[in-house]
Amino acid sequence: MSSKILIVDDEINILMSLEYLFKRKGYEVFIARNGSEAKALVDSSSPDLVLLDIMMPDVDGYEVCQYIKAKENAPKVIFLSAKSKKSDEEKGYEVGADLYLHKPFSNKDLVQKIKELITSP
Amino acid sequence: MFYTLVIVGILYLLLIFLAGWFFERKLSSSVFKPWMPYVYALALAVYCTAWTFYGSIGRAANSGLSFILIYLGPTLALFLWYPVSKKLFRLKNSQGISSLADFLAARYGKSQSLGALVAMLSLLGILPYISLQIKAISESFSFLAQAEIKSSLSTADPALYVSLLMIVFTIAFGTRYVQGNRPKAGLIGTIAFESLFKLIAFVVVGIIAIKSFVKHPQFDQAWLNFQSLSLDAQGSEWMSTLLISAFAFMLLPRQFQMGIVENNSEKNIAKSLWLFPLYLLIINLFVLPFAFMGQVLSPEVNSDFYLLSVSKILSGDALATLAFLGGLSASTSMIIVSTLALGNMISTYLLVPYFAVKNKPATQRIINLRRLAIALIIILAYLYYHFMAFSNSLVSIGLISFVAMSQFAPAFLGGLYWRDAKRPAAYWSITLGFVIWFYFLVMPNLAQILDLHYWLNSSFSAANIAARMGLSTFSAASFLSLGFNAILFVFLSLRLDSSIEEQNQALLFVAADKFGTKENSPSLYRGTAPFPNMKALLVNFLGSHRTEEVLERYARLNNINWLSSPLADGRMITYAERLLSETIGPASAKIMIASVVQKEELGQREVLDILEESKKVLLLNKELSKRSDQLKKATEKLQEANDKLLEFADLKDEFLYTVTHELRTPLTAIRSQAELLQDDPEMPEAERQMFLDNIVADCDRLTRLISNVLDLEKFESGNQKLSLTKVQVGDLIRNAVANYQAMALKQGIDFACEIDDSLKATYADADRIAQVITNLLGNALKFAAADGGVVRASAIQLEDSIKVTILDNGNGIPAADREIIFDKFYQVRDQTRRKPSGSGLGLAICKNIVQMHRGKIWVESTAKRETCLCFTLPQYTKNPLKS
Repeated sequence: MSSKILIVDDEINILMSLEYLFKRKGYEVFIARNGSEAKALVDSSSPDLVLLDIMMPDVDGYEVCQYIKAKENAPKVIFLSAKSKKSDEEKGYEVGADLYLHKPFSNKDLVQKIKELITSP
Repeated sequence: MFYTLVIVGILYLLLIFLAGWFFERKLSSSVFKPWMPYVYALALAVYCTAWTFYGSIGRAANSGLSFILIYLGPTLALFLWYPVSKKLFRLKNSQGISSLADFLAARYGKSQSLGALVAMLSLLGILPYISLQIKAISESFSFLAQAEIKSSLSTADPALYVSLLMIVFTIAFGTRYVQGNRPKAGLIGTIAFESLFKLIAFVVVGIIAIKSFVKHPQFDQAWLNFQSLSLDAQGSEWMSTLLISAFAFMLLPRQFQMGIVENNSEKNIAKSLWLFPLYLLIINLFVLPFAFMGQVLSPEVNSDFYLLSVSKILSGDALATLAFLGGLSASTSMIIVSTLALGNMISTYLLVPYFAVKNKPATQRIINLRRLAIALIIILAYLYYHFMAFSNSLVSIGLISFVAMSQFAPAFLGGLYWRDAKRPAAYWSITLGFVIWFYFLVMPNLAQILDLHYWLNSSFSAANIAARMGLSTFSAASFLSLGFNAILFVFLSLRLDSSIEEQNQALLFVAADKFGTKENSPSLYRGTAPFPNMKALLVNFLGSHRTEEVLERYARLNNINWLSSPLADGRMITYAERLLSETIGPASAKIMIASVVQKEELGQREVLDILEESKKVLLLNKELSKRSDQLKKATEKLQEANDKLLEFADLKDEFLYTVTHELRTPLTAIRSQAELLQDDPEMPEAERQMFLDNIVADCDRLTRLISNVLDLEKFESGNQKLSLTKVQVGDLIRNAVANYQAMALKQGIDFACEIDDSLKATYADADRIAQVITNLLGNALKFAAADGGVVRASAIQLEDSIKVTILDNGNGIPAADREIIFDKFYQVRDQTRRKPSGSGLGLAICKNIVQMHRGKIWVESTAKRETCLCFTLPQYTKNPLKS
């Protein structure tokens, strides 16, 4: 059974790019264009991993992450954000993220990090 | 009795020598400090002489209560004396004044001639008074010892020995220091002791005498006489006696000596204001009883000796001896202090200038001259007593001296309180007063001695003039001498001019209570003196030891190093002059100082300036604190500006942060998609084309963002310049609408423009205004309702501006956001409204452009759900940048 990844971003081009990337790598991919969609999808599809943008309309990434991490058997969360301050990153880990990656990122890096996260016990 | 008196008298005189020796060592110690006001008040009681012991009783026996006026006058004078003595105390220190002659000389331009006049007239006025005391000693002795002293210069006269001892005492305790104004503890203490002694003696004798008299058979007779005591003296007599004794209290040499020169603290004065009158009251309590007792017990005796006769009759020799000692103490204290004061004046003005100033060193010679003067005065007084017959009673001779001393009153008070008082006025008014005094009070005696019956009987003799005025000779003399004296003084002062130096002194004296004393008194010298010369001068008159002492003290107080400043400045010169003045008087001091100083005269204007200086320092302080307040305010403003800058820097940081965020987002998409294309050669063609298109779009977005950021930066830093040309705004709108027409058509939006026909051309930057219109139209098309969207662009002509409105039927803008939509990255902050295609800077740029044109841009609220953005451009008929 393939792992499930939820990608959350309000930038359609990034969303499309990542969806294509992970489908090709064999993951089951869900996409959300804002925070509330993301919450609903976490509940309905129980992904193994969530790639999460921070700056989004309605609910922001931090809040979504807190929501996710409050669940039992919470999925791993990787923040993908253009917010470059140290304090942004710290806040990301505070709300329970497993990883905080800065935009722009390299696809290969991202795939590698996800492999490590999901296969680890 | 003879030997008893001699032995007791010798013992008493020994006692006062012992007292002098004791107080010289002990009085300045801190043990006596709280007692100094009492010592001072007692020392003032030198006012009460043998006259009080003998003459007052005689006068009471002859003319009732009027004797009391002589004590009432000083009591009333205390009201005036209080401020006068405070001022004098300061002047004594700041001007180096040692006598009344010094005071008048210094005040009236440091005048040697005026000082000499005062010294001579004082001697003339006081000498008979001193001989009166010698006479009292001699007569009281012979009265009690029953010894007739026949020959004038008999060695059997005890007064001769007393006089000689007085010379020794005065020299021993009065001339210890070369500076005349220095308080002499041994002298003050002894005089205070004598005052206390005479008071106790009088009171004890009085109480014992009255106690035994009550049982005396003659008591009833005396009581009857007492009840018929008359107060029949004339009002004018009262007036003149009060006035003269009040002046005398301030101006008598012995009063000036004890009240001013020997005073060591301003604080002593206040207590004396009630202690001194109290003393006078107590010592006068028994005057009337003795007068009445004497009248009934010893009517055959000279009434001046009732005290001795009555005490001898009632209680025997012992009490009479005590009374004699009281009289002796009163006489000796008067002789000592008067002689010392006169000796100072005579030596300073009549001897030192001729016999001392050219000598080196002069210190000892000055003291010796003073001693010589003292000896001469007492010898003269003694000779006067022997060769001049006293036809008058004791009181009369005393009063004659009082009138003489009162002649200094106008010049004295004028000098202290009237700046216009002038030296010639003082000189001539004093002279005139003394001439009248001499004519009325001395001439009658002289005429009798010289048998000038022609004058005595003529209609212009003193007695006849007084009779024509309806006054006694004494009252006439007092009123006429003082009256003419004062009138001449005022008249001449108003008519004459004075030297600059005198004007300066007048300023200093009249305002004495406003300036400090001693070292910090204002300096009115300008110019300098070579320091070695100045020092040599001081050494000559002060002695090398004291010179070192005062110079060291002065240097310490003023932070001066003599080695490094070889010139004595104005302050130092003033200080040196004061030091010299203490020793040789102000007039000689001035001459001595002038010999080493190349002095520049100070004009009155400059003197006033110097005196104003202290006030200015105060003002300067005020000004400084004002400045400091201003500085504080400026600092606050600076702080504010700094805060703003910091805030601005924060804003700048935030802006940069937002910009990088906005740059990263399309970069992320570009990188990710490019990587996909690179890594996946088998990507289907449709996907490949989509990613390539997206990359191009993201690149466009990046470019737009960068150019917008640069635009905004230009506007905000003020580097953006407008190039104004004549512009038809309507045409700009039509062009923009035409450019968007295809896009609107594609989105199915109803898109049109309405341009006012009357729209006039204005001066504006055509490209920039087109940018604003394009931007607003782009937003409108973006936000217009997806279904049945409407966008309208319109322009109307207002009175002095053109108004452009862009309207769409989208969701509208919440009222709270209507201001902030023009902020940078507004859309980023409001995440619900984020539109990925915009840079978030468009409206901020529009606002900058419109504001640079002096126009306004705003969101207009409309009733319906629509967005209505408006801006105005001012109507220029000429290019506003080319004036």
